[in-house]
Amino acid sequence: MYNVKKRVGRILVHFILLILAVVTIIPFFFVVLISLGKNVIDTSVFFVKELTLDNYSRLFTETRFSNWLINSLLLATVTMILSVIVVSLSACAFSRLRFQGRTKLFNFVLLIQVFPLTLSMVSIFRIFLALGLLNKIEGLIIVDSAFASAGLVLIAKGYFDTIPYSLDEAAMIDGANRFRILTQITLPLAKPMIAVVAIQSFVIAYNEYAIASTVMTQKLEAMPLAVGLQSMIEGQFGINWSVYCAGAVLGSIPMLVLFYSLQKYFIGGLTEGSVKA
Amino acid sequence: MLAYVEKIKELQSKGLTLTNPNATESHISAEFANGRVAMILYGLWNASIYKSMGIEYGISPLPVGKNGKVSKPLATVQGFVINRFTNDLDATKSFLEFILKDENQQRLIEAGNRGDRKTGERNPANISVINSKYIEEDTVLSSLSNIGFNCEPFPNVPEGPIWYNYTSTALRAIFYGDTAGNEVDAQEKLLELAERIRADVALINEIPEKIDIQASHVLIFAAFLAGLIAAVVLLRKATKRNTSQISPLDRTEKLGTKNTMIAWAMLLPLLLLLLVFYVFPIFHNIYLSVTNYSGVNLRDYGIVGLTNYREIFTSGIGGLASMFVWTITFAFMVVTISFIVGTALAVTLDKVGIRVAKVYKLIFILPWVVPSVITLLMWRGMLEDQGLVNQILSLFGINSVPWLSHCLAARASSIIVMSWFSFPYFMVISSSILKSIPKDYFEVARIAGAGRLYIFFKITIPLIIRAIFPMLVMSFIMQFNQFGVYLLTQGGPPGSRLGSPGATDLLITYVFNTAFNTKRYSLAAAYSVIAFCFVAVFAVVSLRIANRKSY
Repeated sequence: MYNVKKRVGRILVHFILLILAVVTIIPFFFVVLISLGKNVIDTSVFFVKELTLDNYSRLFTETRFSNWLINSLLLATVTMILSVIVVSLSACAFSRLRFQGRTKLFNFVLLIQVFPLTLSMVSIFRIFLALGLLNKIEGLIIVDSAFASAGLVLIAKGYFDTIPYSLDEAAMIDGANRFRILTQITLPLAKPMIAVVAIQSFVIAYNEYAIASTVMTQKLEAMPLAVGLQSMIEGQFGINWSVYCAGAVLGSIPMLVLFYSLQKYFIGGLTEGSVKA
Repeated sequence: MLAYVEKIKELQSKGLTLTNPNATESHISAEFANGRVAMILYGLWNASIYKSMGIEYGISPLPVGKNGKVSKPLATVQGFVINRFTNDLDATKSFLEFILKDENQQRLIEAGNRGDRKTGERNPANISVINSKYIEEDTVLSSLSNIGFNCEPFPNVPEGPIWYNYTSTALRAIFYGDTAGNEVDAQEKLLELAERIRADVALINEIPEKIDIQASHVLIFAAFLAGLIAAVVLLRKATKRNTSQISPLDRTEKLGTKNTMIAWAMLLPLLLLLLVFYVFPIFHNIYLSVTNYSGVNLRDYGIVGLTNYREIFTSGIGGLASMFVWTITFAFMVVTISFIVGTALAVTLDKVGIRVAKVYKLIFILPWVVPSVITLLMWRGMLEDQGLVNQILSLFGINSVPWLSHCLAARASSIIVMSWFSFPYFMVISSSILKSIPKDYFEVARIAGAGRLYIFFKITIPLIIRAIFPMLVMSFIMQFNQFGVYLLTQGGPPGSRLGSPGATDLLITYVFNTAFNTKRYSLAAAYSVIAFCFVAVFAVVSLRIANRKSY
C-alpha cells in the first residue's frame, strides 16, 4: 500500500512540476511564436497563420535595433565596471575599517534604498538638465551605477566579512600599506563576490527601463534596448507586434547567454553573506 | 456627443458593434484585417496588412451633418514648433523656412508614405502636395487628403492631452458599465466627463498666490528644524546602551583618525552617488510638493504652500487610503506567494533526481532573467478577453474570465503575474539555504511521524524565514515600490470617479500617472513625499525587528 501511495505521490509531484513549468514558459513561447509570425498586429487573437523569418531582417532595416543593442551592452558594461569599483571600495571600508559612524552610515546606505528611484524621476531629470547629461549615455551610466551599488553593498560587505582579518594584519606587520592590502590580498580573495557584483549590476543596467525612458528621449539611436523596444509600441499607431517580438527575442539573448554560462555566480551571490547558519 | 453615444448604444444593442471593453486600436485593425467587421473608424497604418489579407477596402468621405455641412474633425498635425527660449532664433527660422518649402513638404510626405508603397500613413496638409501627381494618382491617398482638407488642426496647447486622460474611461463606462458592471447613465457620465476636463484645465491654468518667503519665516523654520534635530539627538543619547566594550570577536581595528580618513575616502564615491540620486531627490520632492510646478509653468513656478497636500487630504483621501491598503496587500501577497512557491519548488526539486531538477531549474529561472518589460507586455496580451489564457480556458469549456477588466480579477491577476516574476529569486535562495540545513531535523520529524506538509510548513519554512528575513523585508519593499505593474494593467480598471486611482494602481504607478499624464508634477511630488514617509517608517521598523531577531 505504501509503495502505491508513494508512486501516486511521485506522479502527482511530477505533474504539478510540469504544469508549473508550462505556465512559466508560456509567455516566452508566445513571444517567440509571434516573432516568427507574419504581420501580427494583435496580441489577443491567435494571429499567427504563417511562419516567416522576415521580421528579424525587418528589425534591422526598419528600426534602430542594432544601435539599441550596442547602447545597452555598452551601458551595462560600463555600469558593471563602475559598480564593481564603487562596491569593492565601500564594502571593504565597511567591513574592515572601524571608523567613526560606521554602523550609522551602513544603516543609512541600507535605508536610503527604500526610496524608489521612479519617484525621483523629475529630480533626476532636472539634475541632468542642469549638468547637461540629458540624452547622454554617461548620465544613465551614473544613475544605474548608483542604483546597482546601493543594492549590492549589503551582500558585498557580508562576503568581505568572511575574509579573515588576520591576513590583513599579517600584511600590515610586513609593512604593506592599506592600498596594497586591498588590491593584492583582499580583492583577489573576493573574486567570487566581485563576479557576482559585476553580473548583477550588468543585469540591472540592461533591464532598467523607468529611468532610461525619462532620460533618453530624444534620439532614437541613443536609446538603450528596453526604451527602444518600447518606443516601437508607444508612439505611432499600427504596431507591428511581430517585429517587436523579434526585437524582444534578440534582446533577451545576451541575458540568457550570460546567465546560463555564469549560473554559478548569479546564484552564488544571493546567499553569500546572508546565511546565518 | 450624447446623440453619438446613443447611436452607438443602439448599434451595440443590435449586436452590430464589436464588444470588447479593453479593445485598443490594434484590436479594431485586426478585426478588420480578418474580415470580421465591415467598417472601422481608423487610419491606414496597417494598409499593407489589409491588402495582404485580401481585404478590398475603400475610404468613405466625411459625412454631411444635419445642417448640410461636412463635419470638421480635429486632426493632429505633424507640425513644427519653435521653443520660445531657443538660443539661436535665426537658425531656427531659416530651418523652418526650409522645411516649409513646397518641394520639401513633398519629400516629407513621400518619405512618410514609404515612397512607392503609398501606405497612407501621412496625409498632406500642404496644398501643392495635395494637388501633386503623387497624391492625385492614388485613389486612397487622394480621398485621404480630401478628408484632411476639412480637418481642424488640433491646438498645440499644454491642456491638449487632458481629454485623453478621461475620455476613454468615461466612454468605457458608458458602453460597458462601470467597474461593478452596472449600467451607467450616458448623460450623467458625459456631464461628469466635461466637468472633469474643465476642472483640470482650470487647475492647470491656475496661478495660485506665490508666497513670498520672508526672512522671519525662514528664521522660524530654521529654528524649528534645529530644535527638532537637537531633540532627536538628545533622545538617542539618553537611550543609548553602553557600546564601548569591544567584544573579543572583534577583529577589525580600533578607532583612529587615519583610519577614519581612509575609510571616508573609500566611501566617497558611493556616498556621492547616493547623495545625488537618492538624498537630493527626496528633498527636491519635498520642495516641489510645496510649489505649483506643472506642465504649464515649467519656468515660472513658485512656492504655494500646502495646497497640494490640502488637495490630497480632502478630495484624494479616499483614493489615497484605498491605494495604500491595496499596495500593502499587494506587496505582502506577492512576497508570500513567491516565497512559498519558490521554497516549495526548492524542496521538491531537492528530492527529485538531479538531472531532472537541473532542467526544471533552468526553466523556472527564466522569468527572472528575461527583461521584465517584454514579458509584462506578453502577459497583458495573454490576459485580455480574447487572449491566450481565455482561449485555453475555453478549450475546457470555461467561460472567458475578465482578467483585466474586472476589479477583483485584475487585482488577482496582478498579484499572480508579479509573483510569477519573483518566485525564481526565492527558489534559488531557499535552495541554497536548504543545503545548509542539517538533514537530521527532517529525519527526526519523519521518525516522529510528521507528514510532508507538516514538515514543510512547520519546520522548513520557519527555518528559512529566520535565515533570510532581511531579504523578505527588502523584497516586500521592492514590491511596494514595484513599477512593472503599470506595464501590465496601466493602473487597472479605472476607478469610479474620473481621475481617481485605478483598481490596481500602486502608490508609485499613480504618482507616475499623475506626473506624466496629467503633468502635475507638484502634486506627484506631494504624493511621493507621503509615499516615502510610509516606506521609511516601515523600513526603520522592520530593520529594528530584523536586528532583534538575529541576535
